Amino acid sequence: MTTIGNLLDGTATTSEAAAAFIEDPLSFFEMSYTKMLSVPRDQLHALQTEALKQRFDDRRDRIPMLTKLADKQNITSISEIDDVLPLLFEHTIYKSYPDFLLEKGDYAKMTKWLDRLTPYDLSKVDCSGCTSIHGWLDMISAVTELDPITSSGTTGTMSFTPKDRKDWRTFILGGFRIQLLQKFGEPPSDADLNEKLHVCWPTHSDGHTAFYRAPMYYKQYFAKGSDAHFHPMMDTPGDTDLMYLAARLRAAQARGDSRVNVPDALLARVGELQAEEKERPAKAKAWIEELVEKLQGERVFILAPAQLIYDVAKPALAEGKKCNFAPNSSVTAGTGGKGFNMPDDWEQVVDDFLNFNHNYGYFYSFSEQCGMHVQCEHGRLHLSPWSIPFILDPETSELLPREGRQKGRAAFFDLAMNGAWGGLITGDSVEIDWSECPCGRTTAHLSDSITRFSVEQGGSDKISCTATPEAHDDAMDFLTNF
Amino acid sequence: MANPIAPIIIRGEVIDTDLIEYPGRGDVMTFDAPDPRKFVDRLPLSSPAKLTDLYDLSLEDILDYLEELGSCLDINKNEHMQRSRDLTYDATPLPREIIDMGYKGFSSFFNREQVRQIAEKSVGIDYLEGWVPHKLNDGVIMKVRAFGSRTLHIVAGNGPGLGLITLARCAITRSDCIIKAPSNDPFTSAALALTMVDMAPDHPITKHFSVAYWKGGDAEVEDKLYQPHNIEKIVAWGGLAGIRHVTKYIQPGLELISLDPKTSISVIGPGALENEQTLRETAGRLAVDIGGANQAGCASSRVTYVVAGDRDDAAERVAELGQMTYDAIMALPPTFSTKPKAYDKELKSHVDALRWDDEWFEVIGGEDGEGAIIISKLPRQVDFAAYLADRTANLVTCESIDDVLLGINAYSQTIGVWPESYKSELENIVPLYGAQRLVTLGNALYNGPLLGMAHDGIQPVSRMVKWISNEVFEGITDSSPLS
Repeated sequence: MTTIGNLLDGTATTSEAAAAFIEDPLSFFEMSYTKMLSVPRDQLHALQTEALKQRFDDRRDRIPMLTKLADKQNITSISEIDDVLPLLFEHTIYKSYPDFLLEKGDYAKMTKWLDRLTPYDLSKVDCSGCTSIHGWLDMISAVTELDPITSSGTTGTMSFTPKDRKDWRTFILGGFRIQLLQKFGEPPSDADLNEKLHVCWPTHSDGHTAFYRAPMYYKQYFAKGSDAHFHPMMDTPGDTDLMYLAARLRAAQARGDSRVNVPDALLARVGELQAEEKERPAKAKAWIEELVEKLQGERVFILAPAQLIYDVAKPALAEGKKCNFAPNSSVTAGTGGKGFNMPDDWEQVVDDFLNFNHNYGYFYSFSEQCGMHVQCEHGRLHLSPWSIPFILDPETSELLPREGRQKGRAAFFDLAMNGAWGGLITGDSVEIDWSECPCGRTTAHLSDSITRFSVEQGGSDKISCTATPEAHDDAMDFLTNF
Repeated sequence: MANPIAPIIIRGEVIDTDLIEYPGRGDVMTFDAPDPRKFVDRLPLSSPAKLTDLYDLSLEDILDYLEELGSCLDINKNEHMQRSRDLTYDATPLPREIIDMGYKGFSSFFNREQVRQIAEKSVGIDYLEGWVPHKLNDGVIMKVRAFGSRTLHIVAGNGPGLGLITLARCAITRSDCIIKAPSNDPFTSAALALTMVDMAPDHPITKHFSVAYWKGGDAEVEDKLYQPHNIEKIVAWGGLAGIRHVTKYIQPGLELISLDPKTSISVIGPGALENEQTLRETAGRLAVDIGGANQAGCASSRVTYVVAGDRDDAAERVAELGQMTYDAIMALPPTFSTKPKAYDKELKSHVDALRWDDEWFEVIGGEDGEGAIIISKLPRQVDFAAYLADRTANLVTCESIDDVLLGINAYSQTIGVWPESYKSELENIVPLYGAQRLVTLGNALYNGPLLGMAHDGIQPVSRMVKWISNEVFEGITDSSPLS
């Protein structure tokens, strides 16, 4: 098949290359991190422009929400990257259904809503037997190529993003395995591509939120499907409806309200939440034993967000227990950098426990897309080649020039997205630099200080008598917001 | 260019030295203020006995002072207020016209009869001016009087007049007043204090009025100041984070009077949907409560529940009402409501996400950041209701009052109702869910709460004073435990 090499040596046209690129970006770059991030800027621009045109032509009449948006604005074709700007979706679109539908358990209407956001045809999906959100998502992923993900914010409303299995592959294999294991400037080794790594997971092994669903794909792409290499803290799926209930309870509590708007049958399950909470310390302890004893010297892949790991790491350290992974492991720790409050000593505790010389992979990604932007040795987060950035003026939403350093609201067109439209305006405030980075990677790069606009606005000492939403700050929020 | 200065004024003395910079963010500007740690020891009244000079004043003396102060606050003449207004133009998200309107109102704020009414309705003039005797069943005479206290006020910055109402409440109750200015309006209360110093530097009211800015939560300042030997009452307006960190100082002898952050709604009864004329009247009233002062107040309406009952044309009627309301908001006079300076980004992304969904929502306007009406066709508010601002409201189509009650909780301040007769369906039930004020639609911004009779579910002025009894047993022996 056509690869980036064919484009660069002139044996494929831009059009052929673009078709191969969006069909399977990982094969197009021959599974090589170096190739992904070494395309000369002008050639990448031409490739992305052509790929964007093809994406638009193919999707325009297949994603009903996009059709509507394009019709309304009379957009029938795309010739420049910036032409797609009026067609980017707000990130909030993935929770734009009326709450009332979930409250009443009307999954047929929920499916109809989701159908408008994806090129897949969901009109034949029979949801008449669905009685829970979890069951509904199970059903959709069983009978279609979609594997949608959910999250829920401080108001307790869940978002549903229709990613498909290829999107997950690009994200987990292309984003994580290829970029985090390979060294830039070197071709991928056989081990980088094929070795089974131990996957350590600090929560449930499966589910439908991004953080619960991802481990199944880590298992597939890092552990090569091996049960012996898969180490979740909890070997059961995280229940989507319980997550929804938890988010609703917390939202109600924040409002000073004892009424929680969920179906009665779900409300009756509140005891399960408490039981789960009660079981966690024992499971955490067993998991810590596994990490410290069994995985000593092994090559692991672990994502250890401080919100989930701090309270298990602290008692382990007190007993003198710490990890000792192989040096070529992939370890990521931190808080996700988006406005969480943690105890003052979190960094020290997490560092001491993981015992990995603070040698963490650092990246920026969001669950609605498949782009993963990994930090280079100069501290810059380089964009995946399938992510086209649009940085918007935070006040006017005008597109900022594609040159020099710019700070504003981040929007991306993800050329690799199949299950949903690739164009998305995020709620994140970023600083981008279009100039060349001394590390040699060719894509534009972001500063690692990424904040959410909603947090930024509430952070000052201004006082208003008007009630405004508040940021939450614990593990449950991490899991539901991820 | 040098940063603007927010001076500290302590009991008639103006301090603008030892400046430190407070960097701004969002709708907060960068400004300089004297280092509060250097002056915090001088802020509290050194002894409660020093309240006695306020007792040399009669209510009429107090009204004289405030009346004269009102005339000094004329924005056409008062340079302190002009400077404060000009700085506020840049510092807040509100458009100029709205700020002008606020400052223009200052000169009539201390209208003699208005202040007298506040004194009478919030506490009772008799109780403020002397001992009020009550004869009890057993013949004992219970005399009661309301005494001033040493108060600290954490005022909100989303309306410039809170320093003035605070001064009025302190003056009539003969309380010592320290205002902690907010970072989103560090100048207005200071300008008020500067005017007082110019007008009557040695007057007891001037001598019992101080204004300072420090960053809320600055422990080096608050640990010292928030002590029962310095302050007896803290009045906190809004700001959930602010109130949270004040609570750790609350102990016997130091009371918190909390005016929690609030949000407000409207409720429209079926009668309003009868015909074109009733719809138009309703829309006009709704527009005032939504758009007035650009929806910046806690009394500003954000969600409107339209109880349509089971009428078949409910959807069409609500859509008509939505369009008329939008048109009426756009037609409000610019001194009362105008296009927002910068439309909230987060809100815009939420509104735009619904724009393409005509099955369950209808979005009217909003493409130009001018404000919008979002109609919910199902009986629930939008999930981003807490973000509604900048002249953006959500009209929710409901079948019954049960749907309305789901939208009422402890944060609900004002409910504007129309037709008036529909209030009888609500007035004895919504308070149980947390609502604190019912008002005829179109009057949400009337300053009813500022009278102090019923404000956010409490009587704040009545709580600012110390209620003292003096029980007289002379001539009665049989109720004494010793008899």
